[in-house]
Amino acid sequence: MADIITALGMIADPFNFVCLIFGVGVGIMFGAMPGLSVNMGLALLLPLAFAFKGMAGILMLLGIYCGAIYGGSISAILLKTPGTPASVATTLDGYPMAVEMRQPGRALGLSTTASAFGGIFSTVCLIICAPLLARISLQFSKPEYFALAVFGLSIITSVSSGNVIKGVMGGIIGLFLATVGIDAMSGAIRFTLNTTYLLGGVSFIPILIGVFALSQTLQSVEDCWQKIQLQQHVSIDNVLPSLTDLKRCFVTMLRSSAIGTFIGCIPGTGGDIASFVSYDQAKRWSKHSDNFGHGEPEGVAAPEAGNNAVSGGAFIPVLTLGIPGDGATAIMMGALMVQGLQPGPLLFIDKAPDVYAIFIGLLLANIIMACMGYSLIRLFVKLTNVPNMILLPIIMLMTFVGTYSYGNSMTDVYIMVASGILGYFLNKLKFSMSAVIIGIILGGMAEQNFVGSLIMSDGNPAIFFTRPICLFFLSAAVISLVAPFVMKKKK
Amino acid sequence: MVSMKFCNFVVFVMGMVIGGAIMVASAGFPMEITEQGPGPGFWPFLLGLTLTFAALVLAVYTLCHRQEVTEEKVILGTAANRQVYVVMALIVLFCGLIHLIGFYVAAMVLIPCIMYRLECRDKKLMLFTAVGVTLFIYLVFGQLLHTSLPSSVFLE
Repeated sequence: MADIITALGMIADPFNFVCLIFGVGVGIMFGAMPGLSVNMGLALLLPLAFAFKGMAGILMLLGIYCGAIYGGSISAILLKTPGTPASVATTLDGYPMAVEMRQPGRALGLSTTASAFGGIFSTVCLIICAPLLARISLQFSKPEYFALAVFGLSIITSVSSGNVIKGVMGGIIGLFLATVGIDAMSGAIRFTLNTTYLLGGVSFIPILIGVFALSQTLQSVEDCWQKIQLQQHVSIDNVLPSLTDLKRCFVTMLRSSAIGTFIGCIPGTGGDIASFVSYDQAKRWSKHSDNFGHGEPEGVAAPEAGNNAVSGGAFIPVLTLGIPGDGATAIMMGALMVQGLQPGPLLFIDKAPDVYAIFIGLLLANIIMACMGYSLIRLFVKLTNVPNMILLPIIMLMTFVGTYSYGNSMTDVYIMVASGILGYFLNKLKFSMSAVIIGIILGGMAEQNFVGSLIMSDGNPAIFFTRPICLFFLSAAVISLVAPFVMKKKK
Repeated sequence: MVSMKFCNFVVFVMGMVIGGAIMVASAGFPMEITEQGPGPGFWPFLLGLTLTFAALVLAVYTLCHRQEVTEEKVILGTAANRQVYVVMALIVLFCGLIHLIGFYVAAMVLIPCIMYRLECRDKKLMLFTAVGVTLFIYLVFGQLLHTSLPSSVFLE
């Protein structure tokens, strides 16, 4: 109880609370503007989060994470251009409702309500499940943690990458980059190229900003070449959903929230998968399935509840096991680590007030998101009309400022630029950049637990195959890597 | 426009080279597994080996699915791509300019240049955006967060 009171005290701090509100607002902006993404928003504001010491930065990032997933629905509904991949399914019924039925306020109101519902539902699940899972994972030893890291990395590469083999290669490169610097087990200095800069290891923040922000901006430069940017000038009257709509969509929102939370727990999946599965299930179970695709309210509520529910679900493996499920949670995990919060079961014992503050922050972020969605929607709609020719140079400049301000080092800036340019080409070749980043983040955990396991077994590698949980995770890792090939062959 | 088949072979060669380099570099560290666990070279060597193996698997996969990967195209030479390459060059140039004339002045140059490449021809808008954004960065990062962004080499 004392931990919860301490956590409430952290949230009640005016500066922390303002940071949370600021994060939600910025997140909605990033989500609403086509071409900008959740990852980009998080990566760009990550250095700012470090400048705010303590919980303020974390709360700001939580706000961005929640806000950006919701913000994607605004442009999906009004412009038929989803702000984020998670909002693609929302266009199917959101756009017809806003344009053909001339009810943009109704569509935006439904999406706001469903997003907040999904987010709050998944946060409640997180609050219930995470401590239980953390208690179970406390019994894990080094071999289980090594197997878990391998499993996390393998499932991410197999699901998120366009090509499993390239995903694996990306993950290995990430794992290798994590070995640069002083080896934590032996103290040996490895692969530093005789530079003092690399003694502390490869800093993943510049790489992260490069691959998630700069390379995506370069991609947007390509995408917007000689394209006329759609502008929307709609008058939005009432964005509060009617009681009839709420009654009609309640069960759908509940079902979609459960689907989204479950999918969010699985590493490598994300809002896009959750929203499509939710939409598909809503259509299957609805009494108005014929109306889907023509502005059906359930068709708007289902994907939005589903994709926002991913936020809480995705935090379950991050906080309890230290396994990030996608790029966004990898950034969040990086932020937690830099602030001295090492995700994993011990976090719930050593830093319990911080964990509760994250829970309450996530809950509040969803409530603030709903309030902003209802009250400031007209402003966010205007932001979707900001031309790319203004937006993209600003974001490029912010990648420089963000990277430099992180470590006051031009070397970081050069690494960021190199990662951004390389990331642009690697994306073309269907490499999963998330795999590289998650490889860097999980690298330390994987190596230390691998070495620790071999010390436990006096150098006998059989330890990985004789412990049931370890064997389970390693088998699951192999299955997740082989399954795409088998399924392709069957097709 | 190049085929994915060609790109996969380039990735294969790069994977072999990088994997090989990692193995050679790791060989410089102790690798034996003792009671104190494996040496510091063991894990990176294992990663180098896995990378080499994955590169080989990619080459075999490409050969087995020759038709499919030949049909898949990687677009790298269109006008839109060239636009990106120019922007990349501007970014690299910007890195040099930061040293020479300092961050704030370089930013005032970069923003209009990129806006021009993105087909903005409104000089007032370019100037307003450049000044506004630079001022914002100065106020937030320079004054509020006390981040000293790089200044000109002539002023140091």
